[in-house]
Amino acid sequence: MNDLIDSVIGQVTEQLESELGNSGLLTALKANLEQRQDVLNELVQAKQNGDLTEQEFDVELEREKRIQEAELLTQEIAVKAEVQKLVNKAFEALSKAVNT
Amino acid sequence: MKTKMNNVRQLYVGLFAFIGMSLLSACSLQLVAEFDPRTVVALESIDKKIDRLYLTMKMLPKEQRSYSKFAATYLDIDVDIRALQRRQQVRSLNEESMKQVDILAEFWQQDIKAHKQKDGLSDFLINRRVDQYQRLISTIIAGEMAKK
Repeated sequence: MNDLIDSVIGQVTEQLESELGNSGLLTALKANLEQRQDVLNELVQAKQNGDLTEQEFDVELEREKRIQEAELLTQEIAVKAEVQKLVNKAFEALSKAVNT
Repeated sequence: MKTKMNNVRQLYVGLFAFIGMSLLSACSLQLVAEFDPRTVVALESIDKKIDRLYLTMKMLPKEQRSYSKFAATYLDIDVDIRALQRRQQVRSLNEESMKQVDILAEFWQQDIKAHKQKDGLSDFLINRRVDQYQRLISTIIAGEMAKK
């Protein structure tokens, strides 16, 4: 089962690499996927054991996707906030230099 | 006449310098909303309530986990999530946090509906919910903290 999840994650990251290049976003995505590997394994196992119906399994996968989306939104906020801080610092420095 | 011209020139130079300085100091880039400590407090409170709900459920035998037993708590948490959603909607430059809280609200509605329909919840799904809400709320808090 681990092999199946490994191979799926491998395929997804390969596809992401070709589409996004080696960006910070890709690194975050890869880290997230790797962290969630155990959860995905658990879900597949639960479906096979009958702890989850097919419909419940789909719902759980969809929820995992939505959480990933929320985690990427946090990355977006962090990047924007960092850019904002850096630009404002640069303007502050410029303003000080002009004032002195 | 020459002195008068010099005075006018000095006045213009001073005026331009003043406007330039003001523009430079007022020029502040804003890409994300201001940090809102009340949002963090609200999220921590929701996180705690959700955790308590699922821990309480887990302590009970499966056959005693009927929806009616937890309906009031579901409603209480729903009210908190809706209030948090409204708070995010009125903040400018807050699209990402708004989307995140929308996901939280969507999950909560889905869980109320599922519990009502099945009138019970397995240990497996309780564990999934605890994990999912912890991750979701932690990442929303992290997003808010990044605005500091």
